Amino acid sequence: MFLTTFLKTRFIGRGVLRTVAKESGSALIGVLGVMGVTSVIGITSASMAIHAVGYTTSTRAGVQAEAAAEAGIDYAAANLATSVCQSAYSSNVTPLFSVAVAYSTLPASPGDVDTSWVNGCPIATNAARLKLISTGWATSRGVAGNSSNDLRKVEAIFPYIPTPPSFSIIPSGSALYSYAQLDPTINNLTITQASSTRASLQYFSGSATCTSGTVIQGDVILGAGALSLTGGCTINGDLWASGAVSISSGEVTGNVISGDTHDGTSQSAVTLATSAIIDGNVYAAGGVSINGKVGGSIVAGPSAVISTFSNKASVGGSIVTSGNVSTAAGVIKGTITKNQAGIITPTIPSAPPWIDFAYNPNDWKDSNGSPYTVLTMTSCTSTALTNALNTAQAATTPLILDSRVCGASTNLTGYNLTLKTDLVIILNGFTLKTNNIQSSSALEKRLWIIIPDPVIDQKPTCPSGASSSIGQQVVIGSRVGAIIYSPCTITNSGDVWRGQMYASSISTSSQFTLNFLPIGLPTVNLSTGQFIAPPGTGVLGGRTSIRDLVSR
Amino acid sequence: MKMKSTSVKSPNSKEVGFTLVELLITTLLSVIVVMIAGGILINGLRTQEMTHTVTDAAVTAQQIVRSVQAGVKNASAITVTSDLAAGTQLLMARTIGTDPNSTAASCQAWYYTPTNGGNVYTKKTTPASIISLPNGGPAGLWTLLGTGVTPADPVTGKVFNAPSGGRIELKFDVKAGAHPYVLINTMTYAAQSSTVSTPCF
Repeated sequence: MFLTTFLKTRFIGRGVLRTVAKESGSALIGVLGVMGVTSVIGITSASMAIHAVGYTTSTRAGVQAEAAAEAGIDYAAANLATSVCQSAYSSNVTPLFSVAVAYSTLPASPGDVDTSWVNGCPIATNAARLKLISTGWATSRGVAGNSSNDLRKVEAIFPYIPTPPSFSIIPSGSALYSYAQLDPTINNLTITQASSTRASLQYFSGSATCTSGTVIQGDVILGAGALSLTGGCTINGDLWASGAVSISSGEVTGNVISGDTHDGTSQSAVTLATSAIIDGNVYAAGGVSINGKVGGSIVAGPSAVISTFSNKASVGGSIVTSGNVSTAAGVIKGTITKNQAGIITPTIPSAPPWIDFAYNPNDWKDSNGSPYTVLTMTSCTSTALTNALNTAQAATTPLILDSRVCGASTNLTGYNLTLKTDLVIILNGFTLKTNNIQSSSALEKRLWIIIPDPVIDQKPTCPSGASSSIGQQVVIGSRVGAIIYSPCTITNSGDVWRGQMYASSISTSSQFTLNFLPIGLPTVNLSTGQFIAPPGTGVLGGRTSIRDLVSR
Repeated sequence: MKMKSTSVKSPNSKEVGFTLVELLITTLLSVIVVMIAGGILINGLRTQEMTHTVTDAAVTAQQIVRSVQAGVKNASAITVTSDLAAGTQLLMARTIGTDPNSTAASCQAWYYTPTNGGNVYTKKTTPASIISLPNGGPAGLWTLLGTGVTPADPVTGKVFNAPSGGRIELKFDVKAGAHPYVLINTMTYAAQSSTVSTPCF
């Protein structure tokens, strides 16, 4: 075409035009030939390139799918190690995988072909092995029809150790636990240790003001609150408080840790008056104001701007602070390090979260797995309650007395119990007053007084109109351990209690002695605030086999 | 000259033709066009050849890697033996099958020989039985995985490297004609906790 056009424009003569017109086909054939050959070369090259790209993307997809499948194995194994088995695990986000679970009661494969596998979670108590088959998908699939590696399957086999059914109730929790302490007053409270377990007073939230005559043989943890010690209060343990700590008169024999960030210019995280004593160390996020005695060292920061030490201050160790230090003529035995960088805010161990404990008779079993006898009251006359309590104290096997028919409060005033066995009293609220509860023998007996909290929200939910009251002359004997679980506030004027209390709030403004003995509740661990895995679960041993399976 | 002039001036004459100038210009243009077209064709052929050799080399390299990875991943035991004099290497594995319903084992081997430009072969025996290298190099039931293979590890000078921990490191080049080599530098491992090697080695 180009040649024809050229000749037409350059050689106008008619003969030339005629000649060119006759030869126009030959040029076109040449051009078509070149185009044909070029096309064949191009198509061949392109097809080879596409094939190579497809193969490469297929290789990449295989690596991704393999990794996803292996991630599925690890994910499922991690979940099985920490929670109740699920028959399948999957992920809808990268890495994409789906894991199926099977189990076998044979401890080892009988040969190359093993037909003992049963799909699903191990329900047999003699399950010995667990198999996970994970299917992983590539995030970037193979192109140009190369999809054979988009999916990979990996099989892993673990020994499986079933958890033997355990019906024991874990003795757990603190001496006094309040979810949200309403009345901060602590007055003439004595907490002692009735067993080898160290006592503690824990407020999930709420402050404490100790006014007089209190001795706590254990630790104090205020997860969200401040502490003020006056009137010669003594804590024979460590004190953790997220808020400020102020001691005007009193002693902490352990360490004092405050997460308060007041910088010391107008308010301090830890303030000690001249009569205040801390035998251990002081760790404060903010500044400190010391007029009393600190046996150990002081670390104040990272929010401390100024820490003040009066001429009556006594520090047995060193002082390290993120800010400045103002010292008078006090005794500071160690070194003083000012403007120290890198001080980390002290960690306050929060009290465990609230456990919503709903009443389920099936949770209550003795050490042999035999269920507790349930005695459900159908009416709440005085006679009916007396008869029920007489039946309870006469029982020789553990018994649950359900008195919720009594409404917002079961009035237990004046009842004395001599227990021959463990007793659980389920109620909507209670009034204890003038009660003497003892064991019939030298054997320890347990008593649970429980207001169920069936609302699963990690907050105490008190039944409508319910109340919890401990009046005067309530004594729990030396061989009885009693726990109160109350999502309501406990008004406490009791005398002596042996066991523990777990409540929304517990008043401690009256003279009260608590001999701490951990009792616990079934299915839960009050120390961690977590439910315990139900019987029939198990743990995985070390992986014995892993292999790729055919992907089809 | 007169006849030529007459001829040109007589449009009805049957002896019309090109002038010398026309012929020269036409020939020159044709030569240019043919040279351009030829250049395009030659470049196209070169591109095709390059694409062919490079993609072939890349696919060959990946094919070898895939084969080794698939075999070694399910292996309960692996070992590499080398003949330093001949420059050959034999990677042996006792590997479990991929059948979900069976855990029957196989023996699989990959053999590298530098002869004939460097070749990698593989062979698998099911049920598992020992694999021995026939005299005179692999033949018969050995499958050729790739050619043009040379070791790329500057330290060991080997294609298959077996450090501790059930790992196999693959470091090799695959020749791509006159073009740069395709380099493979990867690692795969035997994930099995079992270390049974019999009867393979």
